[in-house]
Amino acid sequence: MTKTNLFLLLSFLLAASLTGWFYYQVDHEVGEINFDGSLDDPAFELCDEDRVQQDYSPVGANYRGGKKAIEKEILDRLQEKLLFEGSGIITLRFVVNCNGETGRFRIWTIDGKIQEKESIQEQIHIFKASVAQLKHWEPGSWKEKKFDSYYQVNFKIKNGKITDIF
Amino acid sequence: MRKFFNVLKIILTVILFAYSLCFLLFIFVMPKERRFDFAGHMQGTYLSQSMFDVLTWQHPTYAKAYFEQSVALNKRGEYAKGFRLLDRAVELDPKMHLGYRGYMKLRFLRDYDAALADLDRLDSLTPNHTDAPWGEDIDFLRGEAWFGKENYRKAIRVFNRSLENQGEDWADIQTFVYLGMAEHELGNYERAISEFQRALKYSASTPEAHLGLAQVYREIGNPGLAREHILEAEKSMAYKREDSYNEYLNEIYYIDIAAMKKDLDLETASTTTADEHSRS
Repeated sequence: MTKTNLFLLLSFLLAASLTGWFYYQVDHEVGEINFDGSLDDPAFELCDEDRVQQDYSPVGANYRGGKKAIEKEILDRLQEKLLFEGSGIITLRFVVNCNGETGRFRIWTIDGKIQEKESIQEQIHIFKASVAQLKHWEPGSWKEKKFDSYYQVNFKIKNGKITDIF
Repeated sequence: MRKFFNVLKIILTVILFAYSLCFLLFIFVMPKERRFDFAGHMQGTYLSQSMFDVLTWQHPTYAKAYFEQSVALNKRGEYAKGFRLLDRAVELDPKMHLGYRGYMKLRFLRDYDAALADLDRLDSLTPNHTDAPWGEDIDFLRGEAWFGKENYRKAIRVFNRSLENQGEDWADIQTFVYLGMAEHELGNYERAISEFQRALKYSASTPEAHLGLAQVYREIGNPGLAREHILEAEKSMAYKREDSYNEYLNEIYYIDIAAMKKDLDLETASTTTADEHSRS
């Protein structure tokens, strides 16, 4: 291979890599939840995989009565099954699809000092099951069109007991 | 012909290298303020996070970059990562970032003690100045934290200080609502009525104040006035206090009104319909 060809190949590979990297970086966002066959129900479908709204956007999903209603509906059942030592916050983030169904649950846990705390696998199922029982989801919408949207709920825990859901 | 292809290859090589160089200059060499603005505008994307990573790697004391990088993470529930960055911003420039961290601990984590610690520390760093973290009076935020801690006497003292700071005409109407709610919690019904009325004096369309009055009037045995105020609360729900990021401590919903109407033997069908059309 001549030097000219070698430099052309190198310049092409560098430009292609940078373009690919740039495209990936622009196309992906913090907090996005992609389908994971080991965690997610394949029957849960999104209307538009490429356009899931943030919950805080004007077209984000809501629950009728807000987090207060969520607390009222699931706190007692959840409290009995909670596996959490000490204090902190469990954040459950998931997708409410355009049909008002929930799926793709992910969980983050922090302790009282806002440090990451390992989530117990069993715990994820308990939270998923509780949220799946909620029936009054209002999918994100704009005029007549419905959207898929993220939604997140924080469970504040003090000495092993849920003290607030927001 | 071969010479022509060689020249073409050299031109292509130069163009491709120049293209890559532009990318690298953009990410590593452009003035930091321009890169900061770009990353800020792309908030939430991986590109934005990567650019902030580069900025803080090149300028380890660039507090604003740590702060801005934390925003998307905290909005999307990744608090451990978000607060790690925010803590660094506070460490580097406490006067500039303590207020925001206090606000975040109050509204995003509902960690009232930690929020008060940050807000008090900010206050001590800025004597003779009334701070307004994230645009809200510092004593309004501290009042909300004390309210969250269910220390209603302290909340009343601090909310009243917020009114002194700003002057009653300029204060957040929710200050009066919180004062009414705190007095109600303490069983001071007359004072609660007076505070809720003070909110309505500044805006008759404050559903939280109408709902508060309906609750107080029901408790003191005046169902007529309770009914009047619950209907007013329902009418003014379009003006309710809400935030797209988090639920406020005193946020109200149509279902609260529907429940109260049911208690007062009022028709509730209209609220169910209204609920379906509300954001919440």
